[in-house]
Amino acid sequence: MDIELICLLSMLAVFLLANLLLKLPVSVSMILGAIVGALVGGQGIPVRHLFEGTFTYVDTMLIISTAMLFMMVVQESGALEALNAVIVTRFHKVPALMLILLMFVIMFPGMITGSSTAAVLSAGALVAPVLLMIGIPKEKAGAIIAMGAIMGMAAPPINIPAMLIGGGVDMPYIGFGGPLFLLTIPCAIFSVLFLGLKYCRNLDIEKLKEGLDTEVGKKYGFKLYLPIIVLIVLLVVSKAVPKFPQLGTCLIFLISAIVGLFTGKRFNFWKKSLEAMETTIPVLAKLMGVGMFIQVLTLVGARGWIVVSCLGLGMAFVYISTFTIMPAFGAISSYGAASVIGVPFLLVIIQNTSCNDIIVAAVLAFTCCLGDLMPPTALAGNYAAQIVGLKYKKVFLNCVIPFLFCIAAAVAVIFNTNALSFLSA
Amino acid sequence: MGYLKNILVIAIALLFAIPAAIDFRAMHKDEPIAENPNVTEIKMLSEYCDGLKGTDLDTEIYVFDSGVPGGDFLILGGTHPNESASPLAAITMVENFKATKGRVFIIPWTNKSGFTHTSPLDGMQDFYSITLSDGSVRTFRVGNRLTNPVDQWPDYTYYENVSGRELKGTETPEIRNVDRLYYGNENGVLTEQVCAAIYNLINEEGVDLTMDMHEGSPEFLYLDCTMVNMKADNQTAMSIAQSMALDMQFDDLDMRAEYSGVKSYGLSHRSLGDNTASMMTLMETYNPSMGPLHGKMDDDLIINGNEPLYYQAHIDGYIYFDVPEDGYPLVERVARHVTCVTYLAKAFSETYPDRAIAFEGLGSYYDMVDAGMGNLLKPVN
Repeated sequence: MDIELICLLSMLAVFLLANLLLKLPVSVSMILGAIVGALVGGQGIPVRHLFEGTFTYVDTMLIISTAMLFMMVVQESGALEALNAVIVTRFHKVPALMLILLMFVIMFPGMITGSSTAAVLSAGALVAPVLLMIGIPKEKAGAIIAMGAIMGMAAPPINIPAMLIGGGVDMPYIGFGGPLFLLTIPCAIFSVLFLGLKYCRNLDIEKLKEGLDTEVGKKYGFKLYLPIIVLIVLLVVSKAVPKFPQLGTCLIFLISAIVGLFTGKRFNFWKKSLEAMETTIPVLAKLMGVGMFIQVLTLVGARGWIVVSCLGLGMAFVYISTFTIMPAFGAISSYGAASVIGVPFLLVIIQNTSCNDIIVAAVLAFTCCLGDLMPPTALAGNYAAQIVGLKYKKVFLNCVIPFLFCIAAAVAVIFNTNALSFLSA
Repeated sequence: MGYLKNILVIAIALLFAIPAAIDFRAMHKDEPIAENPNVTEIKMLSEYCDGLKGTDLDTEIYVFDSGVPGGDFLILGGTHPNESASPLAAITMVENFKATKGRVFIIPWTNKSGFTHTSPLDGMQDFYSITLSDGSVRTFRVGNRLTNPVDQWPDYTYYENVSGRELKGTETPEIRNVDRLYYGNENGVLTEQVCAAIYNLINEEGVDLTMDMHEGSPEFLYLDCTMVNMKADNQTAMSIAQSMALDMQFDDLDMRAEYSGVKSYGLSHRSLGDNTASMMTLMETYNPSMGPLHGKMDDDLIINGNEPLYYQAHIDGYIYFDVPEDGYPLVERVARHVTCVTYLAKAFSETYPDRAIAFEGLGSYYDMVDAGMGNLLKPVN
């Protein structure tokens, strides 16, 4: 047996043992896997490599941290509640549009933090009562929240698996917006309409209003939405006008968050910031663990071994694995799927085809995100089930058809990357 | 109790951070170069661009002045520090050369900041060691192809360099790549100031011929190839390069010459060639440790260049370059660079006898390979 394969199996075995049996966090399990891999690979405990891998994603971690602060401000100021109320009262006569807009609200925190957990715990928790009031059954409402959170996690501007995969092949996280929108928006729309539309006939708006907080919107008016508008304007301008002063994503989030302190309900910024950062630390820790894991995987030659072995098996194997093994790996960690499988698979596809590499990376990242539905970890799914007061199994079964639709969309895109290459320009 | 826990976490973090910091700091120390009495002067690149003074990007220029009138030859090593044969070939030349006609300028660490860090997630070595014939050991840095972010950060999401190359999308990190920012800008980012200093050096010293030494991963299509700038006198430049390639082929060494890419703005051979009077060339050799499919990373991979995974990929038809089954040792890659430089000077001198350049000290390709790196490098204190 090749030494690279032995290293790979050792790393995975230690990771699984630590995570599933010892119930250690994913981040710590990855660190242990990396250390064992280096020892088996004859590299001792390579402190420099472990350290270098850990800090690879420091830019990404800064973005996620500032995005979480922004999301906390938007939530605490009352903007999200007001948005829910506006959507339901304005669009209840067009239920499909109302559901789609509510889905976008669920997605929003995931889009800007790259975390499905953040989406479920913030917007998901606020939209869930509205969905139940409308008359959507608990298991369907839970599935909508889970799918929305995952689509938010996959949608731009922040998609962490895409950053992980791109980082692994020296590809900056630029040009992913178009392909990720193409994948996530249609899938999100299909999911919410498939799961919820039939329960939205003949809505009683007066009854719905009783459960909505319409006062906060009336009290603060349009200015309540200023932080979101500032954020969108600055992100779009810095993208569309290259010569515009480079503020950077972190500063844009911070500026928008500061604006939000003066536009809605007052709250204890210091206390809420600490709470927001506490929910973010596990995500940041995972990124550090993933960086360490890939660094050692490459150091011991296992990454190269995976790619060359896959090349030998042919492209059909790679494509089938992309849409089966990769989301299934999410049962352990979707970030782990991106680093362990996503990076080598992208290399195989780039080496072997003339596909648009950014779009391929976007498809792989999207597929990794779907892994957040996979039990037992199922980050998005489990939290969504908790919110609607059910066991995850019932919610998961309702996610099967939307999940298959997402896989079909990903398959369609990966085989048409050149025709869609304008999206990554 | 809470504080105790915090202190414990910080202590554990420091347990890893301190040894790692010591490792990284070690990369800031230049490897010594053995004294060569034929070196007539050691200048600093900042003499050609003030902004570099006192920064991690200022670097040594070793000058060999024969005292005999002739042409001037600039040899750039370490433009990309992870391309190990390039700085090592430059150091080998500095320690062994003697100019006999004209002047030779050698820069071993063109992007000196790049030698102070490694590329994250590539699992690269920071150092490798070579045992000399007297039993002493010399250690060299591997480094990263880009400037250390400690010296230049953040990368702009859009940057247009002086030659018109737009760095955006996947190219944004290239704002820290010396070989994307020529012909340089004295008021630009630090990496661009290195380019400006080299541009000024060429103009102020009247450099006739420039060679930028590189290596590429096995996937790269221009291995064992020399790029030549296409400009008004391109026929002459190409004929010189082809003469060099022919000489190498007579030595049974693969080599071809190709024109610079039409859109290769910012690259040395294109943009320095377009904007200076120097004949610009760039040569590439194969380096398997740089490729994403490399196997176990260690000194053996860097020094012996033996990579079974790339050989398998080549056999399976995925790698165009003829990957040698027994490896492509560092000494062969260094010898190939030195031979290319030697034949280039020879062909140039035959074309322009009044600007002739000549040097000696390292013998033929096969002399160097037979001697091995342990004999080509000199002991240092």
